[in-house]
Amino acid sequence: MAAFEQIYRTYSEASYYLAYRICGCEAIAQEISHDAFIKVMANINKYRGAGSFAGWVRRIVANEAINHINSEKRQRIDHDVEVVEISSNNLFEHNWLESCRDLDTLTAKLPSVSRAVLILHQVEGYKHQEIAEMFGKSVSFSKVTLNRAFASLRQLSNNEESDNASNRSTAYRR
Amino acid sequence: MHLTDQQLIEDDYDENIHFSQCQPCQQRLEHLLVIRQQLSDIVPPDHQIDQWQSIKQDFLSQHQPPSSNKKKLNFWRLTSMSLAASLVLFAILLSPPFKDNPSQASDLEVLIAKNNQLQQQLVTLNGQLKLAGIKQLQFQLGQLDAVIQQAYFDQLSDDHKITLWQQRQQLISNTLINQQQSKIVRI
Repeated sequence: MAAFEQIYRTYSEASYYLAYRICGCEAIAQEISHDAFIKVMANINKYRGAGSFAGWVRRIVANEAINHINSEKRQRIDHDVEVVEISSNNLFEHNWLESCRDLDTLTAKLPSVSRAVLILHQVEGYKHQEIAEMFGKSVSFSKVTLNRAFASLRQLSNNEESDNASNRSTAYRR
Repeated sequence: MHLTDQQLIEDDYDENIHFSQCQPCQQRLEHLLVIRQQLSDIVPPDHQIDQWQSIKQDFLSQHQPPSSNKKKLNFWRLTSMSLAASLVLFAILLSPPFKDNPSQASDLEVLIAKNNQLQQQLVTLNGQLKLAGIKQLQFQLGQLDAVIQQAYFDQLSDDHKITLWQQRQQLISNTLINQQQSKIVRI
């Protein structure tokens, strides 16, 4: 048990951070991290050394987070932000997050699957093929979800900016 | 022709001639990289609660059957898990969390896999081994596992580790062969 505890101490923070980035909720991230470590311990003799141990743990945490999202999705319907148009080459014409004060809150407004795909691909460096396998879907599912996630995030950011401008204008008039 | 968002998102621009000469496309990539960095800076507002005690308790309750008949089976399973955990621990002490360090399959890995496979056979033979044989094997494996762990800790050569793993494999194989021979005698 001492060895397991040491493994937990080494990876618990990174696992918790990853779970939090994917799901955006502290309590759920704790739960995911907890369940993922039980799986790490139960399956440790299946780790064959093909690839880093950290990568193996990370994959278990990511899978656990996706399981959670999938079970959550079965209970409620995700309301996607309506994306008027997904243009093929104008998503990054400017940094629309430049004036964003709280990206954490903004990404929490994304549908859970979109947020997960965005983080797994853009931050954690997983390929579309791997993400598709994790979700049990096609590669095009991952590509389209990622594109929509960026488009939704841009729209949310623009909405927030408009709201802030409107609030400033109201305050100025008073 | 300007690069698509898809090409930028998937980092598919390195060998693109247009990209190397196009200022707007390079500017778009710069914006994407800033956004990506902002996303990776997301951290939970509060520190994580130490969950070790609860994880340990839940793990033991799931993997320690209360029935005394299952004690032997559990011994082999937990022994296998504990050794794997110890060896992994030595390996990870040298690498930081979540930094990929892929290693190629080696003779050593094949040997470890073979050991695990044989140990699984022991699990399936639960209850069929003679008590004296079990005690002796437990003692010998315990001693050998400690030596193997020390070899990893001291970062000894792969050749040295291979010899130790071969000894371990031989030890389990001999027990399994003896078991089969005793079955034949009984018939």
